[in-house]
Amino acid sequence: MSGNKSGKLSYGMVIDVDKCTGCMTCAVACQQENNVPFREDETNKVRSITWLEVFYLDNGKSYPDHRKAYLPRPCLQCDADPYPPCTFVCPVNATQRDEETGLVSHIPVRCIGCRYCISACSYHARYFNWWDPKWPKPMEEMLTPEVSTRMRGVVEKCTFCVHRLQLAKDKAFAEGRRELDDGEYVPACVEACPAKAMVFGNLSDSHSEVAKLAKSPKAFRLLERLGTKPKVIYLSGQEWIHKLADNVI
Amino acid sequence: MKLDRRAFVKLIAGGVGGTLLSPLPWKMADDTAIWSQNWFWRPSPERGGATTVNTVCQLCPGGCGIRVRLIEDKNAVRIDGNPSHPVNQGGICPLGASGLQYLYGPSRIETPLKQTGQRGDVTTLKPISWDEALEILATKLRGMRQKARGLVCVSGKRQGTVSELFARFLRAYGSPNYMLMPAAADAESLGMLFSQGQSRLPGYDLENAKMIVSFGSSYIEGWGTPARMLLAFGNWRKNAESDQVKIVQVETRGSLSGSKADDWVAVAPGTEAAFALGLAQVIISEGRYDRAFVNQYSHGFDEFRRLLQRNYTPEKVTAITEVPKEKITALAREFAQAKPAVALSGWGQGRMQGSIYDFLAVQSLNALVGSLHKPGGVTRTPSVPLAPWPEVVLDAMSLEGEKEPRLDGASEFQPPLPANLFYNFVKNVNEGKPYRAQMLWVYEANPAHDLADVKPFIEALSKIETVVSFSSFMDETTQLADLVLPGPTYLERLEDVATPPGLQYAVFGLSKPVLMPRFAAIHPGDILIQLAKSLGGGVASSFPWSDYETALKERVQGLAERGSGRVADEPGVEPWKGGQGNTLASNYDSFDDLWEKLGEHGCWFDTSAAMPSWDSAFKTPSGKFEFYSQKMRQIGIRGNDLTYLPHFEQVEPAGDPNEYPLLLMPYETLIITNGPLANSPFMTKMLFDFELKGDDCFVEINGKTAADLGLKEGDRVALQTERGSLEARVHLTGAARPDVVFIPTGLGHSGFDSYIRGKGVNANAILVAQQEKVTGLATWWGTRVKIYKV
Amino acid sequence: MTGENKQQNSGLLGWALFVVGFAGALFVGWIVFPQLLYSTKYQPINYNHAIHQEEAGMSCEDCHFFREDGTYAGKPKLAACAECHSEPQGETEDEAKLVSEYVEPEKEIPWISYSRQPDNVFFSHAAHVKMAEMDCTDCHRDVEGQTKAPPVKINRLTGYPNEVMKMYVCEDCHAQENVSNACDVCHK
Repeated sequence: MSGNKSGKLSYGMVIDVDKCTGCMTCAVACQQENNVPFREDETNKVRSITWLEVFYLDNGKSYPDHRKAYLPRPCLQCDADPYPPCTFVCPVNATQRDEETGLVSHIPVRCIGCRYCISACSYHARYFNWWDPKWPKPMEEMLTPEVSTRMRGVVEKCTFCVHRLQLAKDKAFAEGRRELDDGEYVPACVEACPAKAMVFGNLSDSHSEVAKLAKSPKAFRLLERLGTKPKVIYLSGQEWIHKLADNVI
Repeated sequence: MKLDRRAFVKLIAGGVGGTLLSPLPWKMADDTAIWSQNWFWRPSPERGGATTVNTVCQLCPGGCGIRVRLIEDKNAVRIDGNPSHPVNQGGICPLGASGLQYLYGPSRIETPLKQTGQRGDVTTLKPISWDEALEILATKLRGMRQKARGLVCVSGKRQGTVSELFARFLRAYGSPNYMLMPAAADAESLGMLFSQGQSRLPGYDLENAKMIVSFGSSYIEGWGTPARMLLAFGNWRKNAESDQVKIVQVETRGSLSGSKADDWVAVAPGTEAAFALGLAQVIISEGRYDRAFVNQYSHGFDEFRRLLQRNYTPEKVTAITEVPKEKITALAREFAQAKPAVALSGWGQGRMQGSIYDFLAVQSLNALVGSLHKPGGVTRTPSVPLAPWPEVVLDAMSLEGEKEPRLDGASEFQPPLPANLFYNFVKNVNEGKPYRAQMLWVYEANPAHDLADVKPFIEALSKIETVVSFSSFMDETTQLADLVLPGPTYLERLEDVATPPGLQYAVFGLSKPVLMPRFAAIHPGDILIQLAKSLGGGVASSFPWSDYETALKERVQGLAERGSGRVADEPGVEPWKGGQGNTLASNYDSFDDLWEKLGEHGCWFDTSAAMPSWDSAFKTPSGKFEFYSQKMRQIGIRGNDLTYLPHFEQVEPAGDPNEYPLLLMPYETLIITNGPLANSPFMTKMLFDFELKGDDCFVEINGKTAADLGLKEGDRVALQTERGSLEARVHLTGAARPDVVFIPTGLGHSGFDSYIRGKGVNANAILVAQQEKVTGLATWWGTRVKIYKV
Repeated sequence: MTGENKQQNSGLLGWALFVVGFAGALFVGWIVFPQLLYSTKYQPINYNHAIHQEEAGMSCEDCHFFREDGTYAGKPKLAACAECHSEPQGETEDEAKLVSEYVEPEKEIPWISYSRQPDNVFFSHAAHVKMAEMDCTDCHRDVEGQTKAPPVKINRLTGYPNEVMKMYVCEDCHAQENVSNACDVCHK
């Protein structure tokens, strides 16, 4: 069923769209955590880098039946068998799914910037650095040392904050543990969400909250028909949101 | 022997062979590849040991607990929510999460500045030393002491000891002119006085409510304490469908708060209060009100009932609000049945003062269903038992000042209202009455951009001799200042954070310097203490402390002496669960212990203050909740019966409908910050390209209106009101009511940094604020506008 | 004949030149190139491991330890030095320098790392030392009894010291030990 071979660990995320208030804290926390560059004009959304992007949805109806919702979209960490679309096309092996964790990594220093993966991704989750990142003078001090900065000409994307997994493992190893406890590894977006609309954990562990939520009748995945098997699962009780998820984004 | 071609080739061949057998080519290839990964201009973040320090956010009055992650104890690399803090429980808002962009931001002011040229010219704001800056200010203050009333202070921070020090300084100096930036709290405290006899702010027990009806409050877009509201929303949505808290949003625009509610009631512009009265009418006429409360603890119910019967039957309310009467009836029944249910007031983020009657209408709904001072209802924000400072020492000149009228006329207003009438102040300064404002201090506020209907204020500034800004950032007001005394940012200074607005339990936060100040900034509290000392006399005696820390500690002593409450040192505390009036085991044993733990964890909270019983809650002349306000009469407000009853009185939007056929309504969102700050680059980046495109911001209009005007998506239009005109682009959406133009506030900055400067337009420049007749409080929810393609 | 002779002579010369070229290139490649490629840097203070171990009785962990969060503090902070060296203990020049240039002005010592990995590498000491039970000297120079801090050879092209472990070494060992070689195990 899953492309992830170990079957023991499969990190995934459940985002409750009905609980999401559209506050965008997840996106801001992500940018801060992952040294995502920012420019004076970020309104050309094709060239703006947002590892976690927030999609705007509405039911298309007119006043006063109009309803909108926001849908946070990190990298969906596709579990497609045998490869996620992006890693399949990479000519230099710069992106790869870690079969022990299910995480789809992207190593910018290895990337040659061909952007093949960008066209392969169905979710616009990958971004190209059209410019060298620049931080106005003292802002370099706020860069997270656990995430390397990128450069012009390479692709980057959400990694589910894999450096947090590395740090969590470091701590566990130092304490003589091989296994991580629940909640020891949580991406920045999930941690920051003030409405607690995002849940993160091991989808392979049937006792985990994510695994339970993923089985909810309200659950859906984006563009499910493509068979990309995203490990980011959305919840909503709204039919129009389910419909949009399948067809439009 | 001759070196011929063949020999030369052999030499080269040997060289090539030797080279290939040496590490040179392979090493070069490898190293070049590594070299290509390290462009030297690409920053390499400093590595080292990471620590996490707890403190309290001060970017808005919410006072969320935050954790700052530091590398090598000096580089702050992340701000996230502190899970132990009861208000935000580990959550955070976009503003709080981008706090480091303010700390390290390019618009920080490094040294005191003095305007050496024309006011408003930023290039002639020259750096001066702190000694010089304080000397300039002290000299001026000494010189104008005889006319001390000419000193005005505008604070954007309504609570906390630093604001109190500013107020204290003015009083000791002899000026009655301590002003606050306008907010819904102005109407709330007056409304609480009129209906319950005490000027306290409402505290909502939202976490325990079963149904929430919000009358225009952007409950998930910045109303109250943002992170607390977002957390509460998540909890309301946690239960199974059948058991979910019902949320109803009564609002003209299809906001996120409306979309995320179970029901969005799209009322005609400005008619939320009429809708509330319509609900009240149904609840009363169908006998669904809380009899125990109404019969024993309310006053003027009959008058209220008669008024409703006369003016607010479903038919009449339908005519006003354009909401079908079936919906009014159904919602009223549901509200009366869902116990406990609570109604929220305060337009948008609560930054508009609004009408006192709007507040009273909504509160009367809460009263009718017995939700006052009950779990799941609305009570008042408990006070924190801080020790008082010694009385201000009044000398001859400050005694003189005590007698002076305030520049906003609050004390000369007939009857005197304990109100903050900012727009009267602006008007009076412009008219030069009753006396001249000589010096303006601006603290934690940016009125030159942030004040709705900003133009008269900017005009007023030109009538004031000296403007002093205490801002850490180059905001629009600071650009217009003559003297700038930049304070340290919230991550570099010690300060208390009072119980945030709308909370039902007591919280006291302590924000502390988590890293060395980046510049030699002086804490505003310390500036005041130093100034007071250099002025001598009663002013100096009123500031007996050596520094701000001593002054703050003196107040915190009160907490330690009371010995109640706990320092929030463990995750998962939910102070609303045990109910209010529930004494917690305290976890500190002395002042020193408390101070140390406050520093470590950032927050003290207490649930021991019970919600007052209905017997003791109301300090009105009748001793009851007053639907018909005897308190207003007692204060001396004269009028007819209507004056004392909650009613709907629409303020006609400014502008001739023939000339300005459409209505312009501002709206606020969480991703565009209002208040003293401008958006961080991270936040601006998240705006959709139908909100901001290039330097153009968008106004929302309905497709039908667009068709009428011949406009297409993205067309650039001019918006013209009585006050002036702005240019923006149009975004066509079903969220907009036909014939209404919705404009976001918080954009159009001319100050701050290049990441926000010049992006969009400042809606405040063309809004017209209007004052309520009885109270003088201002509303600006709507202004007549015409738009045309440019 | 003369023509042939000439040709032979020239052939010999040619081969001699070949050898010269070959040997020269080997010399340049093996001896000169490494000299040129690396710059030599000296530590700001010539730290004497031996004296600290033997005379002060310190253990390795006093300076090289795991932080509470499991990360590894490779080099000690100045505060650790200042605990003993608020005033010179002995008479060496280096110690005098330590006290006057670093301890007194409270300036961190700019130690040069012998094995600083690139920004994009996450190396877990905990995984290797605690889990795989490797010795420090499997990767690092044995400092026991060392009285001098050796100079650091820095690659002029890459900017990294010559002792920095290369990726193939990591990969080989991971493969041998059956540890994941997924990119994100080590890269960030």
